[in-house]
Amino acid sequence: MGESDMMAFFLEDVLDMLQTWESECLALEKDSNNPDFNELFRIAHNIKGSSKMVDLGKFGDFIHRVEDVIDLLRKKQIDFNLTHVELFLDVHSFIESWLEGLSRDKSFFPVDEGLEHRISAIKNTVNIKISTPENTNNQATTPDPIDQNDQIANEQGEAMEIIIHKNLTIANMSEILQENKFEKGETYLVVIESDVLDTAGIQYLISLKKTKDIQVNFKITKRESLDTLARLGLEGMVL
Amino acid sequence: MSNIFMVGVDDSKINRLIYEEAAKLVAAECLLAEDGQDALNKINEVVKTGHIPTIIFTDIHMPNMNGIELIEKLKANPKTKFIPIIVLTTERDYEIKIQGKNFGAAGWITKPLSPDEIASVIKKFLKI
Amino acid sequence: MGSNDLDTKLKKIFAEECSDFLTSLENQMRFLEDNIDDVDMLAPVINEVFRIVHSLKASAATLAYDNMTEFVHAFESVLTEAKDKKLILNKDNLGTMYEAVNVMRDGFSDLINNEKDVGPLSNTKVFKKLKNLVGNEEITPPSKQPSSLVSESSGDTYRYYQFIIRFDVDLLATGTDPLMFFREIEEYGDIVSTTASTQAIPEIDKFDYEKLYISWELVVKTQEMPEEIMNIFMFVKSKSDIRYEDVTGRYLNNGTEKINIDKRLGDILIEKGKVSEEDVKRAASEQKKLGEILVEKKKVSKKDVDEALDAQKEARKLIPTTVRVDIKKLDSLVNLVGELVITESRLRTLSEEIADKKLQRLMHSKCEETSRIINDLQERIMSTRMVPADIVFSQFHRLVRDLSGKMNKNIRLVLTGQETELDKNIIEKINNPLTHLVRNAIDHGIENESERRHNGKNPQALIQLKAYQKEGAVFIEVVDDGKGLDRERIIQKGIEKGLIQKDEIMTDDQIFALIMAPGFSTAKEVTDVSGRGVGLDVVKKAIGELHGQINIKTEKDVGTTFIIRLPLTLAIIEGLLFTVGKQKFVIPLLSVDETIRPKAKSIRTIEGKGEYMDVRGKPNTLIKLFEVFKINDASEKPEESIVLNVTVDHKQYSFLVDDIIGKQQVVLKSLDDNYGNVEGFAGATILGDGSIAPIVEPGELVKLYKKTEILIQRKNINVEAAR
Repeated sequence: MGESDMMAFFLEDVLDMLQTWESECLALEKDSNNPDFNELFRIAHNIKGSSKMVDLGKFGDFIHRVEDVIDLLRKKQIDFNLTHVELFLDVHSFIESWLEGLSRDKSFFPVDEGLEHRISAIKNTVNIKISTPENTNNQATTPDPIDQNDQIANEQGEAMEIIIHKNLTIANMSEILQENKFEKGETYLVVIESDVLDTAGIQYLISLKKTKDIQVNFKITKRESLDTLARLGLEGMVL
Repeated sequence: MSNIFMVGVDDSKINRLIYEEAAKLVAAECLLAEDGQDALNKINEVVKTGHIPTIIFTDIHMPNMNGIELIEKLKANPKTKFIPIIVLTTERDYEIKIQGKNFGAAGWITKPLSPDEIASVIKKFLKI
Repeated sequence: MGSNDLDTKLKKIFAEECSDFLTSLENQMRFLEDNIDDVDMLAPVINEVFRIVHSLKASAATLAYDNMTEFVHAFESVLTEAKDKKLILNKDNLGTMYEAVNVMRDGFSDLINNEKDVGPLSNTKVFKKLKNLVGNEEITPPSKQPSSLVSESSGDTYRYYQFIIRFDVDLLATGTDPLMFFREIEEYGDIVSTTASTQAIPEIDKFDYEKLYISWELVVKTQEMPEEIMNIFMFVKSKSDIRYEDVTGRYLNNGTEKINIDKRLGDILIEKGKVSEEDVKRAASEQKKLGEILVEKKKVSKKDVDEALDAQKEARKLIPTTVRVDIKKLDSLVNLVGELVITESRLRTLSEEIADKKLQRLMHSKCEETSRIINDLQERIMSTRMVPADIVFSQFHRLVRDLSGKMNKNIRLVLTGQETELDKNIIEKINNPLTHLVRNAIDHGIENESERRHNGKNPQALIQLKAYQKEGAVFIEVVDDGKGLDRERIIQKGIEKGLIQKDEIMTDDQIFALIMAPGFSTAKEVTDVSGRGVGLDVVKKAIGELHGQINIKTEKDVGTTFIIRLPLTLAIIEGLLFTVGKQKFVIPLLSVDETIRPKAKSIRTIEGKGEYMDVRGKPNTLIKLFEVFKINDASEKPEESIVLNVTVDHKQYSFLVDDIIGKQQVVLKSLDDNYGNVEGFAGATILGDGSIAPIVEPGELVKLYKKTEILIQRKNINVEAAR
């Protein structure tokens, strides 16, 4: 296969992967309490590999640095927040214009408006973190995902358990809101033993999930409640 | 469906009978009242004991307190605020339908009343 | 190219077949009559008659002409008895059969002329007689044959509808819960997918538990009419926004749902509601097979996993593997087929000149065959270039997200019909115009949350991108539920910019079309979002270049819809062949509204403005093609010419030409490489006789006309001045 054919293949391949990259970013934004970076990492890794085959050194290096950032997030060495989504979306646009330029001129390099800087900045914060002794505990191996709840509890203090017995329905909302107060910076495990859930109740749970200053995880014990969630297409938002 | 507690408010005796019939069709508990004030009194009584009605049917034109006022009062009480209220109208009475909606009614049912129709509205609203 | 073209072809072939069959049938019947006593002679003839009638029935059934099919089936039943020697032919029953043939001849003739089924024939005397001949046997009409040629589901009665549901924000306070509606929908069919949008739910400190923040998109599989399902929302329709679209095309019709081949096992399980995304994500990070882990952790039963694996296998069977092909190779294939089409039509023309009648007939039938094969080939190659609209549509999620963030507006994007296929060339060029329209909608069309609330609208705005096929074309719509276009302001601006006269009478369509005129722009500020002076005229131009049309529907405070109509392919045009002088031309059939033989009195000259043609009381600007193209030996008298009426930019024009030759499919060949941009034409084509016919583009022709008019007027002025 000729060199230009390889290049054409590479370009098309990466463009394909970029589409997934973008939807992963949007998904991260939606579900920011349980971010999963594996797919993004996989894509960055693949792009890096492919770029080596068409001899694009600079491109490969850039992707390598992006891959590093994703890895840091994956290993929880840095805390995820929505600015990372913005960063990855900008990376997406950057790569897109880079590819477009490459299709015309093999030595093309797009103008960088601070992207590299932002990437370096993130990597630097980790270096600072790693060097302080109190944080060595956080440099964990990838925590066992199944026991994530317990992990969170151990790392950041006990997760406070809240049990809701009442039906999570609009008629009871006023009371439930009164009875359960959530404090900033705390972690909670809310066990929902309600027999009945309605839309108003579920909205409440999602609102709690969305709130940035508190960390809430839910556990639903009744089958019917789970069914209600599924019917309304909301399981992904709550669990 | 055993925990259905319906309320039927109408100044016509015949209509109150129909509400009773409908209640039998769905194995519901039934509370009847003959005007707005009567309804309010009775509903407040049961609510005090923790027994909250699950659906209320009401006519609009009644002595002592009409349907719209009843809806207003029920909506003002946090204990009864979220009970779905169905108003009785004639087919062409758009104004009542709109007024009802504006005050917070959940739906309407057309005259003449029939137990089957009432039962199907109950089933629609209370499968929860 | 489209099921419509296929339909037309089917009907054509059907018409030809019927004619042949019926003639043959009558001959055979005559033979039967002559030899009614000779049982041995009869047998093969009866078989032949049966065979013919059977074929006629099959054809009628394929085209879903049910009443006709019913009748023919009755006749066939009689013939079956005769064939099986259960019925002995005699003068009487033969007479009945003759009557039946007459009914069929008339019936098929009506059917072919009207292109639709005849009325029921089961109450006619003949039908009853036929029935009697068969004795006590009930003549049951044949079960509807599913048409395997038309891709619409005809054997299947399930359809899929996408419901976009945005309830009144105060719904919960009335004691109504959305769940109740979803349960009720399940009585009408299956809810195949549920998507909830929770983006409007605020954090807990701003949360108002009485308000409804969630909107939904459901896809329902049902045999009922969608209007029935809409009735479920009867109580809430007035304050809620509930819409539906038919999305049957997105799903397979043989009972299995289309499963995206790339779907991993986990996704299938999630969709079937067997596990949550969380579980899948956690399990996926382990190294073992997903299915095993989920079963191990008791998240799902082995049975569920096996079922999902089966579903995946099924999907893999149905979807063929793909090959990556360079688009240039496909383009050259298209060209080659185009050449085939041209050569075939030349062969056909030549065959007309064969003296030997027998040879001519043979040649003709072979040409027909070849033509059929080429058409099939052409369609299949075209379909390789067809690509689903999703490729363009899916990008808009990002755009809408970014822009609504920037402009601080709450907007939801819903896509419909993204599986609709378009020619790859068109896909590539439609991106920019669509982006521009969406940006416009977000920037100028959609109000911010507080304004919407103030106007009683759902605080979340809705933008819809729809794609669908209709009437042999592809439609793309950009719909918003914003504030609509301000008619008065547009008129004002039009006057200001000198685009229209003050008292000019214009239709609403013409007024709204003004916003796409060059230099228009009513935006108070040119925002960074919708652009540095790039107006809607660029969109219009781009659509024009794709041989498409764009229309606007709008209503104040309700919203605006841009409807883009695009051809299925750019390379082949259904053309009308006409002459001016000795020169042949082609004009796209779709752009011709009608053709007329004008009377001299319908043409009038208005001082200073030119010539007009009176078409039902309205004046069409008359454009004489022989003048514009400077052709000498053309017919200049209107009574000896033909007029083609077209619409350009909502204005009516009449093109004066010599004669119409006929309808023909032509392959558009570009003149660009050799001649550059040629004014008035969209390209040219090679006809069956080898001659070249330029393809006239109405919009371009009008422009060319205006130019020549100016030149003529200037010449006249100069002449005047010179005197």
